[in-house]
Amino acid sequence: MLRVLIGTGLLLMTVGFGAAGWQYWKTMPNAEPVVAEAAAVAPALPAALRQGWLISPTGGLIKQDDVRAYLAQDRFVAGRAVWVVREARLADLLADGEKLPDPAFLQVLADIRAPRVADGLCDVLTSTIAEACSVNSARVVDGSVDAAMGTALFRLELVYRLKDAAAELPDLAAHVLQSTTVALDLGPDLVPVDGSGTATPEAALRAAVAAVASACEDAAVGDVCRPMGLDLHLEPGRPPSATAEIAWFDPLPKGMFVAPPLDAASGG
Amino acid sequence: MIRGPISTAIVGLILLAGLFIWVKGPDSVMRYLPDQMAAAVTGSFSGTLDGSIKGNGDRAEDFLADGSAGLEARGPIAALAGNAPVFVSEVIAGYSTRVGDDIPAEIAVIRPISGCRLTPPLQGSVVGHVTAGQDDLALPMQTYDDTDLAGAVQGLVDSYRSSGSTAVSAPSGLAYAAYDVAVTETAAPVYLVLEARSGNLVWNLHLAPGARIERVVLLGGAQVGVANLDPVVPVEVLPGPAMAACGIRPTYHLNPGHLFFQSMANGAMSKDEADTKLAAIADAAAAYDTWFRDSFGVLAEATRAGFDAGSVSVVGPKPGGAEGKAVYAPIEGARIRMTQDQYFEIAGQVAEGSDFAGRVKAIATSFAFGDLKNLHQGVAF
Repeated sequence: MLRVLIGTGLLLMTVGFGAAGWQYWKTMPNAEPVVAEAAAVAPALPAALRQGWLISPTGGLIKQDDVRAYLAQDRFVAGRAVWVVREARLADLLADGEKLPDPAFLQVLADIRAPRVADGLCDVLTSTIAEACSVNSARVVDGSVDAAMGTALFRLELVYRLKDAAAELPDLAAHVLQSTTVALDLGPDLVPVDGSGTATPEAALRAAVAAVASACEDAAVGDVCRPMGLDLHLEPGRPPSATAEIAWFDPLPKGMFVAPPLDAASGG
Repeated sequence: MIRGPISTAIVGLILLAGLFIWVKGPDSVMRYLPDQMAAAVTGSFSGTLDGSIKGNGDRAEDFLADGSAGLEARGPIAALAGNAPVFVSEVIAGYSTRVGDDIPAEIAVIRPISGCRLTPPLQGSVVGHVTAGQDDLALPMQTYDDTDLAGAVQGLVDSYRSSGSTAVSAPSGLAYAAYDVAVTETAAPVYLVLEARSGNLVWNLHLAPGARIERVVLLGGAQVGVANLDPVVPVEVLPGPAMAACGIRPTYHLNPGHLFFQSMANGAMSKDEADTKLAAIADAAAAYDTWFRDSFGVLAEATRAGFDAGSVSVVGPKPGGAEGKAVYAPIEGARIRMTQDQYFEIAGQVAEGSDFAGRVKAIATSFAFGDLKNLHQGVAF
């Protein structure tokens, strides 16, 4: 009760001071003029990359998250990722000479050291399709610690930038972005590590990346096919499985015309 | 000219005071307030200020609420056998709710009994049955185990990853609460059955002159203890999990204002469903009464002294005058016999880094290869 009263009081005071400060700030004389040309001196991106919108096959606008995931290859983007669920031995998380803690601490130990489980996966991406790769998240799956077996399940998220992203893009205003989710055939060569059906994660990811490339070569897939996301499951007792979302450009369907965006004309 | 800075300083002081209470908790201020006001602010005696009492407050019944979670003491009242209310001032001399800084003089660790059978009362003794529900009198003692530590380490990890904060938040329920039991029965030795609903609890006994305790049985709760008890009096403990393992489930009939009956009245529960549940509660209450009678010779429900929210109960009659009142015995300097979990600490008496927060940080740091910065995850998009 007391905390609510204090919290309300603090909130009101914060709002009051904020308003007063804002008013004070607004009444101050203008500071030095901002260097308006700052934006102008930034290196100009190619016209295709400056466009921040893409058209869907039905004529609507593609969601901005998907536009960024496809186009923005100069940086990591939240939606463009490889998600891997895999099992690992807890002993593999330990440093030399270290022992596993009491069972009560296994879950949190696994969660803290989960990034170790992602070691090697980024190398697979950078040696194949990615210009750069980073582990965005590595967590243990809640309740997955098997103290008797000394194992746990981990959920990993790697973000990446594609190689060859500077390749010439078609006229974006004259194409639609198509996308689809494909189940990937990881092939018969995926060798289980321990006979339990768990493949080496690196081998499985390499096979998945190769399968994505095959999917992009399908006759039905258009120009500049790119993986938007890849989901790889390597749970014990189940065959490895993977799905990927790929996207590409198709020409505008016949009869579809694009209205130009309502930007200000150059020069005013 | 100087009015502005003075106003700013005053507002700043208010802000700092608010921040202090926010960070350190209301208890940091409560200790400096008079008992009545402190209790009113913290809510245990809220009836004295919040206007939720019935009548004009000159009868103990005025402070007893028939609430949706059970019978609630909303003022300075205690429970007599059968849950009749009485003013605390009429049964305990020198009563105080300031226990937040009370440090006992001696702590003896006791263990729960093995098995399910408790020593029955002797012929001619009086059985006093006290129940504790929600109780807000936190003591500066806490106990916990590796599971609590692991949970707090996970909390620290999550907090660090989301906000960069390394503050450790201890889970609620680690601290012992105090529950006051006034024994005004002087005609015969008293066999005390003290029943906690949950959590860690220390029963603090206050005896009237001439009162004698034959034995104390501590039922329920997680970790429990008894303070201000003669060391020669035997204590038997059957904690909540052990009771459950023995098939003993403390159950009482619901009060008329309980949420259950409200749900029945507003149609949230069908009559058939309600009847089925009420029958199950009645069966469980009867089974508990039977076990209680077989163990102690009296029925649980009829002898129960303890509201669902409150912190004082009385064993024995309401004293006729000042000489029959129990005398308040503080936790400060008391002798306590208690069960403890894996780790036990008294606030202010723990070496730096060895308290709960220190242990949590040490474990997290060790798991993070010596640097909490290694907990960080995430790419800047």
